[in-house]
Amino acid sequence: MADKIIIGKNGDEHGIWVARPGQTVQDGGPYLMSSVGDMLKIHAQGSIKSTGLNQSQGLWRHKLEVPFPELPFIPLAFMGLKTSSSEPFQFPPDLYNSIVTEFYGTGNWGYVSHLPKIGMSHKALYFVGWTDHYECHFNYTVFLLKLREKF
Amino acid sequence: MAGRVLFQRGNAETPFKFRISKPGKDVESTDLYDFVLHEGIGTVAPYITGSAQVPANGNVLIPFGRTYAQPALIMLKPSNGIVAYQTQFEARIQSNMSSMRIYNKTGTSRYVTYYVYWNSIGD
Repeated sequence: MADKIIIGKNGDEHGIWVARPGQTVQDGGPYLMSSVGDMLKIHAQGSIKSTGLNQSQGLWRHKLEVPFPELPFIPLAFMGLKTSSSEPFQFPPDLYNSIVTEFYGTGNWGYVSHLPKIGMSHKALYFVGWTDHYECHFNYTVFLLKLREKF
Repeated sequence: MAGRVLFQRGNAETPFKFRISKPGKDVESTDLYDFVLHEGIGTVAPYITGSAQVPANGNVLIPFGRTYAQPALIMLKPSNGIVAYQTQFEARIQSNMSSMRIYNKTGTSRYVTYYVYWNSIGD
């Protein structure tokens, strides 16, 4: 028998299966959804602006902590960044224009990334660092998916 | 006996519930992590998917077919296993929020499969 949706017993398993358009559950996976194969779920998401706290040598200091409901693990998360209203969001952030040469110490120079570092824990996202942008706009989505054990 | 699927109609007395628990977990669990689907959790689903041959040092415009208020969640999968990175290839959502350009930053043509989700990054 060809079923589009099965709720209950399917072979030796119990659960729910929803077939994709043009297919039946008996055709096998991938399904539109099934209780046997987990689905990617959203834990938290939002849009937030970081404003420079103080300025030094032309750069603005950013320190932003975005809390989300605590999880027993460090989750998978995506963050998009833009530094002006006309610029599209970038993920991952384009570091090309934010990596400059700097002189430090005596006669030494090197590459410095002028972009806030993005970090994550089991309960928050962090944007910390120096950038030549006074305002940084971040969009984020945190998934209910374990990336690694929490520290 | 442990239940796996719970659909409950919402009314003045009972809240709406639409829950499917993971294998081995009871649908009465209060831990959201025990569920494949739960009315309190948003899910991620693809909107469009396709593939494009992106020319060397070039780009391909991919219209979404809808306009997003926030940047769409996009995943790229190359044919050669090299992950997306600014010096390799990347997707840039256009300012009209209804299309993207997949850029190939190398001198070799690249075949990329893309997944554009209903969901956005942020809200």
